[in-house]
Amino acid sequence: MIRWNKAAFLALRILIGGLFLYSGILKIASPQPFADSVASFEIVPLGVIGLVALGLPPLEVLLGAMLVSGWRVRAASFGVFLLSVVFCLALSQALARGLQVDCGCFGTAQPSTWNTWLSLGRDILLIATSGWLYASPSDQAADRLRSGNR
Amino acid sequence: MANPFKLIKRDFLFFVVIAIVALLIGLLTNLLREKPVAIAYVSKEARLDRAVQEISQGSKPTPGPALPDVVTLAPFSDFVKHRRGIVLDARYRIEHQLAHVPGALSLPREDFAEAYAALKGQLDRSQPIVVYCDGNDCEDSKLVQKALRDLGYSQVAVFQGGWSEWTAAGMPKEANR
Repeated sequence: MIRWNKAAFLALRILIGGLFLYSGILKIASPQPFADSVASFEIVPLGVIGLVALGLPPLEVLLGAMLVSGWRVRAASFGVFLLSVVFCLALSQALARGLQVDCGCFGTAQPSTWNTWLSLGRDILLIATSGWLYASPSDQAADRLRSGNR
Repeated sequence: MANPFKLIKRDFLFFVVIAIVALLIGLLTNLLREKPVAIAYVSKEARLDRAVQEISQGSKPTPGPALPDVVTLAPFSDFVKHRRGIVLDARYRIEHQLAHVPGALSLPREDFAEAYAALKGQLDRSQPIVVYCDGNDCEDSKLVQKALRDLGYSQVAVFQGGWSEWTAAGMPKEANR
């Protein structure tokens, strides 16, 4: 059972890390379309949309790299969890207000309600998996070991 | 057993530090970009208007006779088949390179100024032009139509169904080699 847990932990951390790396690199490559996506949510003040569009992609890359490399997995899982909650709230308010948004998660896509529901579903899965990674005892043990070494 | 609130607080602080580092990386890389992103958001429409103003530099060309605002699949297909005018693809350049309507030229909304400068020689104000983008919900074709009209090309229509309707109808495609 413990071996299965460890295998699932490793697979999920690499999968989510890879997803965040890929998503972040795509946005770094074309920040203006991502800024357009952020603006379509109509929740970020216009004066700081550029900061979100420039800061979020490297944050995704850093968190993704941490998960893939296995460095500070707990903290990275916490970051992914927080970001996924924020994305979920942003998508939910867009759906509630009937906004046609392009989530901009993986490059640009045609804004549609169906795509927004899909993105919301993906984010709920991310919340669940990153929450599990964060709470996973195998990584807590690794972190305790690291803290002890410091 | 460590206090979970202390652990969460520690992880949150670490997240804040990582977020600040990420923001600094983002700001620094933005400085190195050929076209940096503005911190205060400038809408697609405003960016295109700015590009049009730069291109026209205040001059107002005389417009020709107008085409209908929007064309549907059948007339657009006929327009393409018989090469009745110019077809412009307002999607991103990479999308155009992957596949486009046969004979369509790339005039992406995002890089309008540069793409227009490169295409200008092939565009004729007296020739009908049809612009398309992804599909019914995309606004890029309408924005490019407005920009071209502002530049004096009044025979500009939009193919409303866009690339999604074109491909769904099994129409021919072309890719850049």
